[in-house]
Amino acid sequence: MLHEFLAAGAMLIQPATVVALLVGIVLGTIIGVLPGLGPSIAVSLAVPFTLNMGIGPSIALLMALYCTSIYGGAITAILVNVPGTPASAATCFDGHPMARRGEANVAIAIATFASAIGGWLSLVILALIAPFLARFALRFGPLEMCCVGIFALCCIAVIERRTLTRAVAAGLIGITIAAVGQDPVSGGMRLTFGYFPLSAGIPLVPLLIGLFAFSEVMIRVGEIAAGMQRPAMTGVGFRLPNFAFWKNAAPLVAKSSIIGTAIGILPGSGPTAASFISYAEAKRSAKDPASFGKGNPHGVIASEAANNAVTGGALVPTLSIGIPGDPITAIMLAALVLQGVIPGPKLYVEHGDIVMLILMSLFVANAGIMVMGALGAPLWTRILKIPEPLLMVGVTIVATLGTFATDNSAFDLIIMVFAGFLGWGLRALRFPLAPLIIGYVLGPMVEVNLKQALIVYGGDPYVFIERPIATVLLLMTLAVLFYPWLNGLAKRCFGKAEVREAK
Amino acid sequence: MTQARPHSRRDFGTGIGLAVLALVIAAAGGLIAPASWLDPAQSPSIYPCAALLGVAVCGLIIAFGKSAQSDAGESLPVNRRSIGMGLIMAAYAILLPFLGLIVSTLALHLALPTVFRYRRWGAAVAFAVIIIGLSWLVFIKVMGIPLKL
Amino acid sequence: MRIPSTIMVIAALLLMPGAGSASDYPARRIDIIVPFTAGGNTDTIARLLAKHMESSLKQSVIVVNRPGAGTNIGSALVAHSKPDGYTMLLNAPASFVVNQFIYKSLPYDPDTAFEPACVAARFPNVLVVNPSLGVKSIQELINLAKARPGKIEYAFAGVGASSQLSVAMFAEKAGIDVVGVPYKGTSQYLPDLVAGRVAFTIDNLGPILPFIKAGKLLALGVSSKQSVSLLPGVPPIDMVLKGYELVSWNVLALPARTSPEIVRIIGKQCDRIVHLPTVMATMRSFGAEPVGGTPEQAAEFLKSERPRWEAAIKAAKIPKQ
Repeated sequence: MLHEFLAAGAMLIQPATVVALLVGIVLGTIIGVLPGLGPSIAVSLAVPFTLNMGIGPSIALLMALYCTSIYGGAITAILVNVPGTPASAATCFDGHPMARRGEANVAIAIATFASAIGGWLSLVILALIAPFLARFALRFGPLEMCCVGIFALCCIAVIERRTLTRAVAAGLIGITIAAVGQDPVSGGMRLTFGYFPLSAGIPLVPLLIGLFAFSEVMIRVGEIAAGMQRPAMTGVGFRLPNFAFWKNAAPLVAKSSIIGTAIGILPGSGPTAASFISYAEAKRSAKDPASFGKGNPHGVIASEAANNAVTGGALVPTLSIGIPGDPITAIMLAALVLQGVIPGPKLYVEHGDIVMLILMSLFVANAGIMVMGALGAPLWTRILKIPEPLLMVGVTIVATLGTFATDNSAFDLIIMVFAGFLGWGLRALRFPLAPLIIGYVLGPMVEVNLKQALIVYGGDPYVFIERPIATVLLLMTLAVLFYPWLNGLAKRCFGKAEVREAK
Repeated sequence: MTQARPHSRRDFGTGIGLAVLALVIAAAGGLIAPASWLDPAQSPSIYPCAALLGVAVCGLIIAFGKSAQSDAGESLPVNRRSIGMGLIMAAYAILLPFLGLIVSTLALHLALPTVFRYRRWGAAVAFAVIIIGLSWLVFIKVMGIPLKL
Repeated sequence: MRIPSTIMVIAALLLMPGAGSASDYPARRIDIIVPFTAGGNTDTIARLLAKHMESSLKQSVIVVNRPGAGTNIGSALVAHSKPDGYTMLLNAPASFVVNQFIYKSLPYDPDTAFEPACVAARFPNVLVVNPSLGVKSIQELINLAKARPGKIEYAFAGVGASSQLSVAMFAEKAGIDVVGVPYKGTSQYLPDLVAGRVAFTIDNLGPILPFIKAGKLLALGVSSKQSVSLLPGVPPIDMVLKGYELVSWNVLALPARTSPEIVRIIGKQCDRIVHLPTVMATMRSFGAEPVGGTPEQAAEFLKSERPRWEAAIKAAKIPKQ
């Protein structure tokens, strides 16, 4: 153990590795900031370069890109209400309202700090109990994963309690959009209307950029035309709240990090789902849920701590059993294979130094997030000084190029345009967009696992008795759905103490 | 409740429209195929069809349900200029791969005087040069995406 | 709308004198389209090829992942691109000898759309079971499946994947009735296979090998006629089921009507690269066997593989989509 630690340390302090880390941290943040470009494109762009590098620098570069690109998305989300990466969509809800009331510097500082702490906490979990957790994750079969998906979908009901019907409708629209293309189970085509390019389905990046960026520009133009002047946004720089704030927020940071790590471990779900679920939980458990969505710093913490905590979580199955937790870790595994390291159940035993190096690189990369935040924020926040018309044109250009760059596909741009009008229409008719994204991300997970469970277990309901994890998940779902009712019941039974709090 | 009247009429249109649209998409997409639903695990249509039916039910609830909660969420200004900007952006996104970066981006800047009524020409030109330069550097030079200049 | 216009462009280019001439090839960037997400066997091999082509052709060679619709998205992209040697496809059997038997309509004709340049590698499949199943040989697995018809489940990595076809052919030859559980890819079913929720599969060795080595899965047989060096002592399935052979592979192909010189240049590059000692070592480490050869041999190879895969698809009884 000590020997491997020292060997990894020696690799880490080599000049090439240090350079790779620094390059990864800077480029990763920039890629995250650019809408459309996110962690998966960062990592896949880097793989060809790693072919010509040693294993130390390769790992350092990939890990740095992975962490910082997830973080970078928060900056765009806060400053222009456009998620820089899908994972930061939930950061928009409170981050941007904060920027609007002149606290962009605080919002970025909070996002930076929460991201780094989330990353570090997940790293601690990864380092200490990965093999144990991986064994636990193996007990999650199709039935359990289906229940996880249903549970997470029901979080829609929590986020959008006020506009429940519209939220559910938006969630179902998201599920339908995700179903376009080839059915992964039977291979049949659906909702393609005989048009071949649709058979690959609707990809996430053009959908998200259309829904958020495109519609945001339209809405701002509408506001300008209607003569609704926005207060000049201020808050250039980087201002960390005081210790009392963080002391108060510490339990939330810890909870969000654990949610992020747990979702990262489960295969088939990624940082986008993690940040939404964590946000929902933060809102549910808050004393003042109504303040969420209006610039509550805790919303930013919940989303950012969770999406960066996914990094450590997704690496748990990747490193300890050799099964990637998400598409991004799958690409990183491929890069390891090209370096001659075959990941698998014995990676810890046979390549302990590599595992150590991965952990150390992640540690440094999360520290790099802090540095990038503190040094970069004064620069990023200057975006607010750009006159609004120019900023909107700039957002259009960068978002369009970012969408095109993901797959070099002109068809993706058409999807983006349609998604843009859809997003604008839904927002104009007061439908929330968050449930649509949650439905899109989790819908396929529920469908595929449900069908697999049907094939494996048949329609036998007794299977829930044999599989306690699934039963627990189902009970949790019911608890979430009937939470307000249960809460009301509890209040009536136990009386006064909680009534005050509810007020 | 007096205030809720115009609201609920709008909700009625929204809800009915949503329900009809969901059913039309389900029918046009060939999802209504009950024969295949007998084996749900192998049916490609049952799941998206259920989702769309759910959308339709939500639409009906929006249309006919109590609109007591309809004050939730802010109303957005819907006007000709926002739709115009949408069309300009759509044209930009669709034509970009064909016209190349410089031509289409300069054309997009025509939105500044028309849609935004922004007439500081010096700033607009400087901005156009900077953004085209940066986009070229990041996307074409560094990332190597196949896009004409 | 798009397809006819693409054809017009292609036709116009063909009429132009000197289009796609080989004398100055390559003059710009080359794209290798991989119709899978990054991280799989095909992607890894494409990256090995790209890396070495780049240094010898003195042009950048980029791997572009275009997954979707059973590899049809990426294959159609190459089939409809200019036949100038700057866009090529590295794919498994799917776009050459499988999809024409699965999909009712394809936007390209797998038999005529491509000019094969080289067979890059073969991937022997391996029959693995979860040790908790309690079978130790192919015959024991067959006996168990016969004793419990319709009760033993196998995992496969999507409609038309080599895992589905391999098991279908196995089941047909053995006369057993087993239930297929579809997954989106190998990495998706491995947790369920390792945990014993599905009993067995026959799939590419690469991603499975670490689990065999760690004792989490038990290898019973390989799908090639010879045994595989990475799995000493594991017999070919052919020993029990005579005539069983289904080996997956990767072929590097250019769009049809690419000039023969360019096809030859690319074929030669590929043949040379897969025989480099370092490349061979990397490929073998994840269960791929380098093949190489000329464009003519690649075309012959595709012809000989076609009936084999058609039979496997018949055995799998996949309804035409």
